[in-house]
Amino acid sequence: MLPKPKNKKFINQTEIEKVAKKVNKSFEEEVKYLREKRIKNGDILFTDSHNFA
Amino acid sequence: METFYSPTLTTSLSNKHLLLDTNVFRDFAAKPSVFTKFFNELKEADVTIATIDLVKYEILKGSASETKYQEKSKLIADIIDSTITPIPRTFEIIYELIQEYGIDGASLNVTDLFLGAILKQYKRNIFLMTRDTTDFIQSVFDLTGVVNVPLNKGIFTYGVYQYTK
Repeated sequence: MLPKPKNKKFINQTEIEKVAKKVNKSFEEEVKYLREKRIKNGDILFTDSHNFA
Repeated sequence: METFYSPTLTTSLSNKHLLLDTNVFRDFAAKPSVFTKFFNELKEADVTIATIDLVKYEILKGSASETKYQEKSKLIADIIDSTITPIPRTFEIIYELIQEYGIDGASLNVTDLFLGAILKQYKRNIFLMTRDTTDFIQSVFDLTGVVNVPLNKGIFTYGVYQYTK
């Protein structure tokens, strides 16, 4: 059986925007870190776009 | 800015679970107001927002400090209502799914396999929302709906998938 929450829980707009801003910054730092690491290792850089070929 | 989706989508998802893929959490962090409105509309319709541990691992890994780890953890906890845990049958379903995919499964990662297996396990009771619309192929899954999120430049499109075979 799938677990059902006991109470309906809504996302608090003000609260989540503060956290999301910090998390988004962390993600950007991680992407930058990975990009720099790949360049340092001489790996080929790929874009995030899908290849529909 | 708002999300665009078919009015029938909420009805389809009502009283069901909606699994979120990693990319949805990442995009949420970039556009919190848009996604908050959308998910609260779904919650109002008794949709249970859920994910799996593997998705959480993908979000949490790479955290540069304990504080950053806790911030990510809080973001996930604030969005979801439930975490779906695999059971022994889930692991068997993954083998079946690999066979169903055939050569198209070559690009799948382990998280995709678990998400797909959970869909196959709970069938009509659960859906998946993902921006990875190339790996969740329609020869295996049903595309129930599409959600569009306009950006300053371009549009993010998410597929809402189900397994009904």
